[in-house]
Amino acid sequence: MVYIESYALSCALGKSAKSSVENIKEFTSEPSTLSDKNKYYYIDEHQEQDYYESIIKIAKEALEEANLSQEAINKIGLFIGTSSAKLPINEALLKQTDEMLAQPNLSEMSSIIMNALEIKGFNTIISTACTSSANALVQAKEMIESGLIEKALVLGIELFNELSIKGFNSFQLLTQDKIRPFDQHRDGVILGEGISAIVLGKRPSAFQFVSGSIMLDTLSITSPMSQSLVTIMQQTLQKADLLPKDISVIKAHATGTFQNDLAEAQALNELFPNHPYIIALKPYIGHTMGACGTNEVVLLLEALKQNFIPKTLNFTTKSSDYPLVPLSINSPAIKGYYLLNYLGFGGNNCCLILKYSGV
Amino acid sequence: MYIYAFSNHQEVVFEQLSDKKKLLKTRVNRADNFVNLTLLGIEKCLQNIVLKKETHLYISSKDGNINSTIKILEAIFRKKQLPMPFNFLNSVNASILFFVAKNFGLEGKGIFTDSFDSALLQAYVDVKNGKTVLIGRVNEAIADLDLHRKKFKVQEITEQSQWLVLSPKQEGENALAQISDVKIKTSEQATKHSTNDLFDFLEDNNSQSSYPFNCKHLSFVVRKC
Repeated sequence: MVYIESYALSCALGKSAKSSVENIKEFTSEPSTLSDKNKYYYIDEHQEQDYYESIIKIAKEALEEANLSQEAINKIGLFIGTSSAKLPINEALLKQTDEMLAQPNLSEMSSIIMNALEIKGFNTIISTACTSSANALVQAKEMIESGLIEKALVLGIELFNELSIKGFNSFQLLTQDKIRPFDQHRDGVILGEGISAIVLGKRPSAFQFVSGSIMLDTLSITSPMSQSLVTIMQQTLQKADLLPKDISVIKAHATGTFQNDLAEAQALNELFPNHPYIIALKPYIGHTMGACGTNEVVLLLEALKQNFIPKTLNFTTKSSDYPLVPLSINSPAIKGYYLLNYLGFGGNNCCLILKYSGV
Repeated sequence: MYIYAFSNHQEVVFEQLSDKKKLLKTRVNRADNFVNLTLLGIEKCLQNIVLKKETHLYISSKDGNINSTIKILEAIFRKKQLPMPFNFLNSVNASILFFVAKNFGLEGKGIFTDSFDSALLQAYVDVKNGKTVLIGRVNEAIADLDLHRKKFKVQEITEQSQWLVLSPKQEGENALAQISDVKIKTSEQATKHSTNDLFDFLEDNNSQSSYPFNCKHLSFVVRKC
Protein backbone atom coordinates (compact mmCIF):
# COMPACT_ATOMS: atom_id res chain seq x y z
CA MET A 1 0.00 0.00 0.00
CA VAL A 2 1.17 3.52 -0.79
CA TYR A 3 0.64 6.45 1.55
CA ILE A 4 1.10 10.21 1.44
CA GLU A 5 3.89 10.63 3.96
CA SER A 6 4.20 14.42 3.79
CA TYR A 7 3.30 17.44 1.70
CA ALA A 8 3.98 21.15 1.20
CA LEU A 9 2.29 23.88 -0.83
CA SER A 10 2.62 27.48 -1.91
CA CYS A 11 -0.34 29.06 -3.70
CA ALA A 12 -2.44 32.22 -3.83
CA LEU A 13 -3.94 31.38 -0.43
CA GLY A 14 -0.63 31.24 1.40
CA LYS A 15 2.99 30.18 1.40
CA SER A 16 2.37 26.96 3.32
CA ALA A 17 -0.28 24.26 3.27
CA LYS A 18 -1.28 25.17 6.83
CA SER A 19 -1.69 28.91 6.20
CA SER A 20 -3.42 28.28 2.85
CA VAL A 21 -6.07 26.15 4.48
CA GLU A 22 -6.46 28.51 7.42
CA ASN A 23 -7.22 31.15 4.79
CA ILE A 24 -9.86 28.90 3.22
CA LYS A 25 -11.86 29.21 6.45
CA GLU A 26 -11.78 32.99 6.23
CA PHE A 27 -11.13 33.24 2.49
CA THR A 28 -8.70 36.04 1.94
CA SER A 29 -7.45 35.27 -1.57
CA GLU A 30 -8.53 37.48 -4.47
CA PRO A 31 -7.17 37.34 -8.01
CA SER A 32 -5.20 40.24 -9.46
CA THR A 33 -6.52 41.99 -12.55
CA LEU A 34 -4.16 41.95 -15.54
CA SER A 35 -3.80 44.73 -18.12
CA ASP A 36 -6.12 42.90 -20.54
CA LYS A 37 -8.77 42.75 -17.75
CA ASN A 38 -8.30 39.02 -17.29
CA LYS A 39 -7.63 37.89 -13.74
CA TYR A 40 -4.88 35.77 -12.23
CA TYR A 41 -4.14 34.20 -8.86
CA TYR A 42 -0.50 34.97 -8.01
CA ILE A 43 1.40 33.23 -5.22
CA ASP A 44 2.82 36.57 -4.15
CA GLU A 45 4.73 39.43 -5.70
CA HIS A 46 6.46 37.00 -7.95
CA GLN A 47 9.85 37.53 -9.53
CA GLU A 48 11.10 35.45 -12.41
CA GLN A 49 14.52 34.87 -10.86
CA ASP A 50 12.84 33.12 -7.92
CA TYR A 51 11.68 30.28 -10.19
CA TYR A 52 13.92 27.48 -8.94
CA GLU A 53 14.26 28.89 -5.40
CA SER A 54 10.49 28.75 -4.93
CA ILE A 55 10.30 25.16 -6.17
CA ILE A 56 13.25 23.95 -4.11
CA LYS A 57 11.90 25.59 -0.96
CA ILE A 58 8.61 23.69 -1.20
CA ALA A 59 10.34 20.41 -2.11
CA LYS A 60 12.66 20.77 0.91
CA GLU A 61 9.70 21.41 3.21
CA ALA A 62 8.03 18.17 2.13
CA LEU A 63 11.29 16.18 2.43
CA GLU A 64 11.93 17.59 5.92
CA GLU A 65 8.40 16.82 7.04
CA ALA A 66 8.83 13.24 5.80
CA ASN A 67 11.91 13.02 8.05
CA LEU A 68 13.99 11.12 5.50
CA SER A 69 17.64 10.22 5.89
CA GLN A 70 20.10 11.64 3.37
CA GLU A 71 20.46 8.14 1.92
CA ALA A 72 16.68 7.93 1.38
CA ILE A 73 16.69 11.37 -0.27
CA ASN A 74 19.54 10.28 -2.56
CA LYS A 75 17.47 7.31 -3.73
CA ILE A 76 14.04 8.93 -3.89
CA GLY A 77 12.33 8.99 -7.30
CA LEU A 78 11.58 12.51 -8.56
CA PHE A 79 8.36 12.98 -10.56
CA ILE A 80 7.71 16.53 -11.78
CA GLY A 81 4.27 17.40 -13.15
CA THR A 82 4.10 20.67 -15.04
CA SER A 83 2.34 22.06 -18.07
CA SER A 84 4.25 25.27 -18.71
CA ALA A 85 7.58 23.89 -17.38
CA LYS A 86 10.33 26.41 -18.20
CA LEU A 87 8.09 28.87 -20.07
CA PRO A 88 8.20 31.43 -17.24
CA ILE A 89 12.00 31.52 -17.52
CA ASN A 90 11.97 31.59 -21.32
CA GLU A 91 9.38 34.36 -21.42
CA ALA A 92 11.41 36.44 -18.97
CA LEU A 93 14.59 35.97 -21.03
CA LEU A 94 12.72 36.77 -24.24
CA LYS A 95 11.53 40.06 -22.74
CA GLN A 96 14.99 40.93 -21.43
CA THR A 97 17.20 39.81 -24.33
CA ASP A 98 14.81 39.11 -27.24
CA GLU A 99 16.32 35.62 -27.43
CA MET A 100 13.73 33.05 -28.44
CA LEU A 101 13.54 29.97 -26.16
CA ALA A 102 16.85 30.73 -24.48
CA GLN A 103 16.53 27.57 -22.35
CA PRO A 104 14.67 24.95 -24.39
CA ASN A 105 15.84 21.66 -22.84
CA LEU A 106 13.06 20.37 -20.57
CA SER A 107 15.29 17.93 -18.66
CA GLU A 108 17.50 20.73 -17.37
CA MET A 109 14.68 21.54 -14.96
CA SER A 110 14.98 18.23 -13.13
CA SER A 111 18.80 18.39 -13.14
CA ILE A 112 18.75 21.73 -11.31
CA ILE A 113 16.19 20.55 -8.76
CA MET A 114 18.02 17.24 -8.20
CA ASN A 115 21.34 18.96 -7.64
CA ALA A 116 19.82 21.34 -5.11
CA LEU A 117 18.09 18.54 -3.20
CA GLU A 118 20.90 15.97 -3.63
CA ILE A 119 18.55 13.52 -5.31
CA LYS A 120 20.44 10.97 -7.39
CA GLY A 121 17.74 8.48 -8.33
CA PHE A 122 15.15 8.11 -11.05
CA ASN A 123 13.62 11.32 -12.37
CA THR A 124 11.04 12.27 -14.92
CA ILE A 125 9.08 15.31 -16.04
CA ILE A 126 5.48 14.58 -16.96
CA SER A 127 3.74 17.20 -19.07
CA THR A 128 0.15 16.37 -19.92
CA ALA A 129 -1.52 19.79 -19.52
CA CYS A 130 -3.88 20.05 -16.53
CA THR A 131 -3.37 16.41 -15.48
CA SER A 132 0.45 16.63 -15.31
CA SER A 133 0.99 16.38 -11.55
CA ALA A 134 -2.02 14.10 -10.97
CA ASN A 135 -0.54 11.76 -13.57
CA ALA A 136 2.85 12.10 -11.88
CA LEU A 137 1.22 10.87 -8.64
CA VAL A 138 -0.19 7.79 -10.42
CA GLN A 139 3.12 7.00 -12.12
CA ALA A 140 5.02 7.39 -8.85
CA LYS A 141 2.56 5.16 -6.98
CA GLU A 142 2.85 2.42 -9.59
CA MET A 143 6.65 2.59 -9.56
CA ILE A 144 6.69 2.24 -5.76
CA GLU A 145 4.31 -0.72 -5.99
CA SER A 146 6.55 -2.35 -8.60
CA GLY A 147 9.42 -2.31 -6.09
CA LEU A 148 11.72 -0.27 -8.35
CA ILE A 149 11.73 2.64 -5.90
CA GLU A 150 10.85 2.90 -2.20
CA LYS A 151 9.71 6.51 -2.10
CA ALA A 152 8.82 9.28 -4.53
CA LEU A 153 8.86 13.06 -4.38
CA VAL A 154 6.11 14.36 -6.64
CA LEU A 155 6.25 18.04 -7.54
CA GLY A 156 3.49 20.07 -9.15
CA ILE A 157 4.84 23.27 -10.69
CA GLU A 158 2.96 26.04 -12.46
CA LEU A 159 4.09 29.65 -12.42
CA PHE A 160 2.89 32.74 -14.25
CA ASN A 161 3.37 32.74 -18.00
CA GLU A 162 1.63 34.72 -20.69
CA LEU A 163 1.42 31.85 -23.15
CA SER A 164 -1.04 29.92 -20.98
CA ILE A 165 -3.21 32.96 -20.27
CA LYS A 166 -3.31 34.09 -23.88
CA GLY A 167 -3.80 30.53 -25.10
CA PHE A 168 -6.80 30.05 -22.80
CA ASN A 169 -8.02 33.49 -23.83
CA SER A 170 -7.80 32.52 -27.51
CA PHE A 171 -10.31 29.75 -26.75
CA GLN A 172 -12.49 32.19 -24.76
CA LEU A 173 -12.15 30.06 -21.66
CA LEU A 174 -11.31 32.85 -19.19
CA THR A 175 -13.82 34.66 -17.02
CA GLN A 176 -13.30 38.27 -15.97
CA ASP A 177 -15.64 37.68 -13.04
CA LYS A 178 -15.45 34.59 -10.79
CA ILE A 179 -14.95 30.86 -11.19
CA ARG A 180 -18.45 29.46 -10.62
CA PRO A 181 -18.19 25.66 -10.72
CA PHE A 182 -21.37 23.88 -11.83
CA ASP A 183 -23.36 27.13 -11.68
CA GLN A 184 -25.93 28.06 -14.32
CA HIS A 185 -24.03 31.32 -14.88
CA ARG A 186 -20.53 29.87 -15.09
CA ASP A 187 -18.54 31.55 -17.85
CA GLY A 188 -14.94 30.46 -17.52
CA VAL A 189 -11.87 29.91 -15.45
CA ILE A 190 -9.16 32.07 -13.85
CA LEU A 191 -5.63 30.71 -14.00
CA GLY A 192 -3.27 30.72 -11.05
CA GLU A 193 0.17 29.85 -9.75
CA GLY A 194 0.99 27.00 -7.42
CA ILE A 195 3.87 24.81 -6.34
CA SER A 196 3.34 21.69 -4.27
CA ALA A 197 5.32 18.67 -3.18
CA ILE A 198 4.11 15.28 -1.99
CA VAL A 199 6.25 12.45 -0.63
CA LEU A 200 4.80 9.02 -1.36
CA GLY A 201 5.98 5.85 0.33
CA LYS A 202 4.94 2.74 2.23
CA ARG A 203 5.08 4.23 5.73
CA PRO A 204 1.46 4.28 6.95
CA SER A 205 -0.14 7.69 7.42
CA ALA A 206 -3.67 9.09 7.72
CA PHE A 207 -3.81 9.38 3.93
CA GLN A 208 -3.64 6.24 1.81
CA PHE A 209 -3.30 6.56 -1.95
CA VAL A 210 -5.69 3.77 -2.86
CA SER A 211 -5.88 3.86 -6.66
CA GLY A 212 -5.33 6.01 -9.71
CA SER A 213 -6.06 5.80 -13.43
CA ILE A 214 -5.00 7.71 -16.50
CA MET A 215 -6.95 7.43 -19.75
CA LEU A 216 -7.06 9.09 -23.15
CA ASP A 217 -10.37 10.43 -24.42
CA THR A 218 -10.20 10.85 -28.20
CA LEU A 219 -13.59 12.35 -28.96
CA SER A 220 -12.50 15.98 -28.64
CA ILE A 221 -9.13 17.65 -28.11
CA THR A 222 -10.65 20.54 -26.13
CA SER A 223 -13.69 19.18 -24.29
CA PRO A 224 -14.08 16.06 -22.16
CA MET A 225 -16.87 13.62 -22.91
CA SER A 226 -19.05 12.47 -20.02
CA GLN A 227 -18.92 8.80 -21.03
CA SER A 228 -15.10 8.85 -20.91
CA LEU A 229 -15.27 10.35 -17.43
CA VAL A 230 -17.68 7.64 -16.28
CA THR A 231 -15.28 5.03 -17.66
CA ILE A 232 -12.19 6.39 -15.90
CA MET A 233 -14.02 6.78 -12.57
CA GLN A 234 -15.35 3.21 -12.88
CA GLN A 235 -11.87 1.92 -13.66
CA THR A 236 -10.41 3.70 -10.63
CA LEU A 237 -13.16 2.32 -8.38
CA GLN A 238 -12.57 -1.18 -9.74
CA LYS A 239 -8.83 -0.95 -9.09
CA ALA A 240 -9.66 -0.02 -5.48
CA ASP A 241 -12.29 -2.78 -5.25
CA LEU A 242 -14.89 -0.13 -4.36
CA LEU A 243 -18.41 0.74 -5.49
CA PRO A 244 -19.68 4.28 -6.16
CA LYS A 245 -21.65 4.16 -2.87
CA ASP A 246 -18.35 3.77 -0.99
CA ILE A 247 -17.17 7.26 -1.99
CA SER A 248 -17.81 9.93 0.64
CA VAL A 249 -16.49 13.03 -1.12
CA ILE A 250 -15.67 13.94 -4.72
CA LYS A 251 -13.19 16.69 -5.53
CA ALA A 252 -14.34 17.64 -9.02
CA HIS A 253 -12.05 19.11 -11.68
CA ALA A 254 -14.70 21.85 -12.01
CA THR A 255 -13.06 24.61 -14.01
CA GLY A 256 -16.24 26.66 -14.27
CA THR A 257 -16.09 26.48 -18.08
CA PHE A 258 -19.35 25.57 -19.76
CA GLN A 259 -18.43 22.32 -21.54
CA ASN A 260 -16.06 21.00 -18.90
CA ASP A 261 -18.53 21.29 -16.04
CA LEU A 262 -21.38 19.98 -18.20
CA ALA A 263 -19.51 16.77 -19.06
CA GLU A 264 -18.26 16.26 -15.51
CA ALA A 265 -21.67 16.90 -13.94
CA GLN A 266 -23.35 14.49 -16.34
CA ALA A 267 -20.76 11.83 -15.49
CA LEU A 268 -21.07 12.41 -11.74
CA ASN A 269 -24.88 12.25 -11.90
CA GLU A 270 -24.75 9.01 -13.85
CA LEU A 271 -22.25 7.22 -11.60
CA PHE A 272 -23.16 8.71 -8.23
CA PRO A 273 -26.97 8.99 -8.02
CA ASN A 274 -26.55 8.96 -4.21
CA HIS A 275 -24.77 12.35 -4.54
CA PRO A 276 -21.84 12.29 -2.12
CA TYR A 277 -20.37 15.66 -1.15
CA ILE A 278 -19.01 17.33 -4.29
CA ILE A 279 -16.41 20.06 -3.87
CA ALA A 280 -14.37 22.31 -6.17
CA LEU A 281 -11.14 23.97 -5.10
CA LYS A 282 -10.26 26.14 -8.12
CA PRO A 283 -12.28 29.16 -6.88
CA TYR A 284 -9.76 29.45 -4.01
CA ILE A 285 -6.46 29.40 -5.96
CA GLY A 286 -7.40 29.52 -9.62
CA HIS A 287 -6.76 26.77 -12.12
CA THR A 288 -3.13 25.93 -11.49
CA MET A 289 -3.03 23.76 -14.62
CA GLY A 290 -0.17 21.23 -14.50
CA ALA A 291 0.17 21.68 -10.74
CA CYS A 292 -3.54 21.43 -9.90
CA GLY A 293 -3.19 17.68 -9.30
CA THR A 294 -0.87 17.93 -6.33
CA ASN A 295 -2.04 21.42 -5.26
CA GLU A 296 -5.63 20.29 -4.81
CA VAL A 297 -4.60 17.02 -3.11
CA VAL A 298 -2.57 19.02 -0.58
CA LEU A 299 -5.36 21.59 -0.01
CA LEU A 300 -7.87 18.81 0.57
CA LEU A 301 -5.63 16.74 2.89
CA GLU A 302 -4.59 19.76 4.94
CA ALA A 303 -8.26 20.77 5.26
CA LEU A 304 -9.06 17.27 6.54
CA LYS A 305 -6.15 17.57 8.96
CA GLN A 306 -7.71 20.86 10.15
CA ASN A 307 -10.94 18.86 10.48
CA PHE A 308 -13.14 20.22 7.70
CA ILE A 309 -14.18 19.68 4.11
CA PRO A 310 -14.04 22.98 2.20
CA LYS A 311 -17.20 24.43 0.73
CA THR A 312 -17.37 25.40 -2.95
CA LEU A 313 -17.32 29.14 -3.50
CA ASN A 314 -19.49 31.18 -5.87
CA PHE A 315 -22.29 28.65 -6.46
CA THR A 316 -25.68 30.38 -6.48
CA THR A 317 -27.88 28.94 -9.23
CA LYS A 318 -28.45 25.30 -10.11
CA SER A 319 -27.75 24.53 -13.77
CA SER A 320 -30.79 23.87 -15.93
CA ASP A 321 -28.83 21.03 -17.60
CA TYR A 322 -28.23 18.89 -14.51
CA PRO A 323 -29.15 18.80 -10.83
CA LEU A 324 -25.66 18.89 -9.31
CA VAL A 325 -25.22 21.10 -6.24
CA PRO A 326 -21.73 21.33 -4.72
CA LEU A 327 -21.11 21.51 -0.97
CA SER A 328 -22.06 25.04 0.12
CA ILE A 329 -20.79 25.15 3.73
CA ASN A 330 -17.60 23.95 5.33
CA SER A 331 -18.44 20.57 6.83
CA PRO A 332 -16.68 18.41 9.44
CA ALA A 333 -14.04 16.06 8.04
CA ILE A 334 -15.18 12.48 7.57
CA LYS A 335 -13.16 9.29 7.43
CA GLY A 336 -13.56 7.41 4.19
CA TYR A 337 -12.82 7.42 0.48
CA TYR A 338 -12.25 10.60 -1.52
CA LEU A 339 -12.37 10.57 -5.32
CA LEU A 340 -10.52 13.32 -7.19
CA ASN A 341 -11.00 14.11 -10.89
CA TYR A 342 -8.56 15.87 -13.20
CA LEU A 343 -9.27 16.58 -16.87
CA GLY A 344 -6.84 17.98 -19.37
CA PHE A 345 -6.54 19.41 -22.86
CA GLY A 346 -5.83 16.69 -25.37
CA GLY A 347 -8.36 14.34 -23.77
CA ASN A 348 -5.97 13.44 -20.96
CA ASN A 349 -8.02 12.40 -17.93
CA CYS A 350 -6.91 11.24 -14.49
CA CYS A 351 -8.81 9.97 -11.46
CA LEU A 352 -7.46 9.29 -7.96
CA ILE A 353 -8.97 7.66 -4.88
CA LEU A 354 -7.52 8.51 -1.46
CA LYS A 355 -8.56 7.08 1.90
CA TYR A 356 -8.63 9.28 4.98
CA SER A 357 -8.44 7.32 8.20
CA GLY A 358 -8.42 10.23 10.66
CA VAL A 359 -5.56 12.15 12.19
CA MET B 1 9.41 -7.31 -21.42
CA TYR B 2 9.40 -8.02 -25.16
CA ILE B 3 9.73 -5.77 -28.21
CA TYR B 4 7.13 -6.68 -30.84
CA ALA B 5 7.77 -3.87 -33.32
CA PHE B 6 10.07 -0.92 -33.74
CA SER B 7 10.85 1.93 -36.11
CA ASN B 8 13.92 4.08 -36.35
CA HIS B 9 12.93 7.10 -38.42
CA GLN B 10 15.78 9.61 -38.58
CA GLU B 11 16.17 12.25 -41.24
CA VAL B 12 18.94 14.71 -41.78
CA VAL B 13 17.61 18.20 -42.48
CA PHE B 14 19.37 20.08 -45.27
CA GLU B 15 17.82 23.31 -46.57
CA GLN B 16 14.38 23.06 -44.95
CA LEU B 17 12.15 20.70 -43.00
CA SER B 18 10.84 17.90 -45.22
CA ASP B 19 7.19 17.71 -46.30
CA LYS B 20 6.19 14.72 -44.19
CA LYS B 21 2.54 14.83 -45.24
CA LYS B 22 3.52 13.28 -48.59
CA LEU B 23 4.83 10.19 -46.83
CA LEU B 24 1.93 9.70 -44.42
CA LYS B 25 -0.96 7.31 -45.02
CA THR B 26 -3.15 9.31 -42.66
CA ARG B 27 -3.94 13.00 -42.90
CA VAL B 28 -4.65 14.92 -39.72
CA ASN B 29 -6.37 18.29 -39.62
CA ARG B 30 -4.17 21.07 -38.26
CA ALA B 31 -1.16 18.78 -38.06
CA ASP B 32 2.18 20.56 -38.04
CA ASN B 33 5.73 19.26 -38.48
CA PHE B 34 5.94 17.77 -34.95
CA VAL B 35 2.63 15.93 -35.34
CA ASN B 36 3.51 14.62 -38.80
CA LEU B 37 7.00 13.55 -37.68
CA THR B 38 5.43 11.65 -34.78
CA LEU B 39 2.84 9.93 -37.00
CA LEU B 40 5.47 9.04 -39.60
CA GLY B 41 7.54 7.12 -37.07
CA ILE B 42 4.48 5.34 -35.68
CA GLU B 43 3.16 4.36 -39.11
CA LYS B 44 6.50 2.70 -39.81
CA CYS B 45 6.42 0.94 -36.43
CA LEU B 46 2.88 -0.36 -36.82
CA GLN B 47 3.15 -1.64 -40.41
CA ASN B 48 2.53 -5.23 -39.33
CA ILE B 49 0.81 -4.86 -36.01
CA VAL B 50 -2.59 -3.64 -34.78
CA LEU B 51 -2.73 -2.31 -31.25
CA LYS B 52 -5.60 -2.95 -28.84
CA LYS B 53 -7.40 0.17 -27.68
CA GLU B 54 -6.22 -0.40 -24.09
CA THR B 55 -2.59 0.10 -25.19
CA HIS B 56 -0.70 2.69 -23.16
CA LEU B 57 1.14 5.50 -24.94
CA TYR B 58 4.38 7.24 -23.96
CA ILE B 59 5.87 10.07 -26.01
CA SER B 60 9.19 11.58 -25.01
CA SER B 61 10.78 14.70 -26.39
CA LYS B 62 13.45 16.99 -25.05
CA ASP B 63 11.92 20.16 -26.50
CA GLY B 64 8.38 19.14 -27.50
CA ASN B 65 6.61 20.97 -30.31
CA ILE B 66 9.25 23.66 -30.48
CA ASN B 67 8.01 25.30 -33.72
CA SER B 68 4.48 25.85 -32.38
CA THR B 69 5.90 27.27 -29.18
CA ILE B 70 8.10 29.69 -31.12
CA LYS B 71 5.12 30.79 -33.28
CA ILE B 72 3.08 31.59 -30.18
CA LEU B 73 5.87 33.41 -28.37
CA GLU B 74 6.46 35.47 -31.53
CA ALA B 75 2.75 36.32 -31.71
CA ILE B 76 2.59 37.34 -28.04
CA PHE B 77 5.91 39.09 -27.48
CA ARG B 78 6.95 40.41 -30.89
CA LYS B 79 3.64 40.99 -32.71
CA LYS B 80 1.63 41.72 -29.54
CA GLN B 81 -1.21 39.48 -30.74
CA LEU B 82 -3.25 36.68 -29.26
CA PRO B 83 -1.94 33.29 -30.45
CA MET B 84 -3.94 31.30 -32.98
CA PRO B 85 -5.99 28.83 -30.90
CA PHE B 86 -4.68 25.75 -32.65
CA ASN B 87 -1.06 26.91 -32.48
CA PHE B 88 -1.64 27.09 -28.74
CA LEU B 89 -3.17 23.63 -28.68
CA ASN B 90 -0.33 22.10 -30.70
CA SER B 91 2.20 23.63 -28.30
CA VAL B 92 0.59 21.85 -25.34
CA ASN B 93 2.47 18.60 -24.90
CA ALA B 94 -0.73 16.62 -24.23
CA SER B 95 -1.98 17.40 -27.74
CA ILE B 96 0.45 15.05 -29.45
CA LEU B 97 -0.89 12.24 -27.26
CA PHE B 98 -4.38 13.09 -28.54
CA PHE B 99 -3.37 13.09 -32.21
CA VAL B 100 -1.66 9.70 -31.87
CA ALA B 101 -4.44 8.16 -29.77
CA LYS B 102 -7.12 9.39 -32.17
CA ASN B 103 -5.33 8.13 -35.26
CA PHE B 104 -4.40 4.73 -33.89
CA GLY B 105 -7.51 4.14 -31.76
CA LEU B 106 -5.83 4.14 -28.34
CA GLU B 107 -7.70 4.79 -25.09
CA GLY B 108 -5.16 3.65 -22.48
CA LYS B 109 -2.82 5.75 -20.41
CA GLY B 110 -1.16 8.72 -22.18
CA ILE B 111 2.07 10.20 -20.85
CA PHE B 112 4.35 12.85 -22.36
CA THR B 113 7.75 13.01 -20.74
CA ASP B 114 11.14 14.61 -21.18
CA SER B 115 13.36 11.62 -21.80
CA PHE B 116 13.04 8.28 -23.56
CA ASP B 117 14.68 6.16 -20.93
CA SER B 118 12.61 7.65 -18.10
CA ALA B 119 9.56 6.77 -20.21
CA LEU B 120 11.01 3.29 -20.82
CA LEU B 121 11.19 2.61 -17.09
CA GLN B 122 7.58 3.76 -16.60
CA ALA B 123 6.54 1.57 -19.53
CA TYR B 124 8.41 -1.35 -17.94
CA VAL B 125 6.16 -0.99 -14.86
CA ASP B 126 3.07 -1.09 -17.11
CA VAL B 127 4.32 -4.15 -18.97
CA LYS B 128 5.00 -5.88 -15.64
CA ASN B 129 1.33 -5.15 -14.91
CA GLY B 130 0.33 -6.93 -18.13
CA LYS B 131 -0.14 -3.92 -20.42
CA THR B 132 0.99 -3.33 -23.99
CA VAL B 133 2.81 -0.02 -24.51
CA LEU B 134 3.57 2.10 -27.58
CA ILE B 135 6.56 4.22 -26.64
CA GLY B 136 8.50 6.69 -28.71
CA ARG B 137 10.89 9.56 -28.90
CA VAL B 138 10.29 12.55 -31.17
CA ASN B 139 12.66 15.44 -31.67
CA GLU B 140 11.93 18.00 -34.37
CA ALA B 141 14.24 20.68 -35.76
CA ILE B 142 13.47 24.38 -35.56
CA ALA B 143 12.21 25.47 -38.99
CA ASP B 144 14.66 28.37 -38.89
CA LEU B 145 17.70 26.12 -39.33
CA ASP B 146 20.19 28.86 -38.49
CA LEU B 147 18.41 29.39 -35.19
CA HIS B 148 18.51 25.63 -34.59
CA ARG B 149 22.27 25.44 -35.25
CA LYS B 150 22.92 28.41 -33.00
CA LYS B 151 20.65 27.29 -30.18
CA PHE B 152 21.76 23.67 -30.05
CA LYS B 153 25.35 24.26 -31.16
CA VAL B 154 25.22 21.65 -33.94
CA GLN B 155 26.12 21.70 -37.61
CA GLU B 156 24.25 18.62 -38.81
CA ILE B 157 20.54 18.70 -37.96
CA THR B 158 18.64 15.44 -37.54
CA GLU B 159 14.96 14.84 -36.74
CA GLN B 160 13.95 11.64 -35.00
CA SER B 161 10.77 9.65 -34.53
CA GLN B 162 11.71 6.29 -32.99
CA TRP B 163 9.17 3.83 -31.65
CA LEU B 164 8.78 0.51 -29.86
CA VAL B 165 5.81 -1.73 -29.12
CA LEU B 166 6.45 -3.38 -25.75
CA SER B 167 4.42 -6.15 -24.20
CA PRO B 168 4.62 -9.16 -21.92
CA LYS B 169 5.22 -12.43 -23.83
CA GLN B 170 2.27 -12.93 -26.21
CA GLU B 171 1.19 -16.48 -27.13
CA GLY B 172 1.45 -17.07 -30.88
CA GLU B 173 3.24 -13.77 -31.59
CA ASN B 174 6.89 -13.53 -32.55
CA ALA B 175 8.80 -11.04 -30.47
CA LEU B 176 11.78 -9.26 -32.03
CA ALA B 177 13.75 -8.90 -28.82
CA GLN B 178 13.56 -9.18 -25.05
CA ILE B 179 14.51 -6.44 -22.59
CA SER B 180 15.65 -7.84 -19.24
CA ASP B 181 17.72 -7.00 -16.16
CA VAL B 182 16.16 -3.52 -15.97
CA LYS B 183 17.74 -1.52 -13.16
CA ILE B 184 17.54 2.12 -12.08
CA LYS B 185 20.85 3.96 -12.12
CA THR B 186 21.90 6.82 -9.93
CA SER B 187 22.86 10.10 -11.57
CA GLU B 188 26.45 9.52 -10.42
CA GLN B 189 26.90 6.42 -12.60
CA ALA B 190 28.36 7.02 -16.04
CA THR B 191 26.15 6.91 -19.13
CA LYS B 192 27.54 4.91 -22.04
CA HIS B 193 24.64 4.63 -24.44
CA SER B 194 22.12 6.94 -26.04
CA THR B 195 18.60 6.17 -27.23
CA ASN B 196 19.95 6.06 -30.79
CA ASP B 197 22.25 3.19 -29.81
CA LEU B 198 19.26 1.06 -28.81
CA PHE B 199 17.43 1.67 -32.10
CA ASP B 200 20.60 1.20 -34.17
CA PHE B 201 21.19 -2.12 -32.38
CA LEU B 202 17.65 -3.29 -33.18
CA GLU B 203 17.97 -2.22 -36.82
CA ASP B 204 21.39 -3.79 -37.41
CA ASN B 205 20.85 -7.36 -38.59
CA ASN B 206 24.55 -8.10 -38.19
CA SER B 207 24.80 -6.95 -34.59
CA GLN B 208 25.42 -9.45 -31.80
CA SER B 209 22.34 -11.13 -30.37
CA SER B 210 22.63 -9.72 -26.86
CA TYR B 211 23.84 -6.34 -25.67
CA PRO B 212 23.91 -4.55 -22.28
CA PHE B 213 22.72 -0.94 -22.41
CA ASN B 214 23.75 1.65 -19.90
CA CYS B 215 21.57 4.75 -20.40
CA LYS B 216 21.05 7.89 -18.34
CA HIS B 217 18.31 6.61 -16.02
CA LEU B 218 18.56 2.86 -16.28
CA SER B 219 20.55 -0.12 -17.44
CA PHE B 220 19.11 -3.16 -19.21
CA VAL B 221 20.01 -6.02 -21.53
CA VAL B 222 18.46 -6.49 -24.98
CA ARG B 223 18.46 -10.00 -26.46
CA LYS B 224 17.27 -10.46 -30.03
CA CYS B 225 14.79 -13.34 -30.38
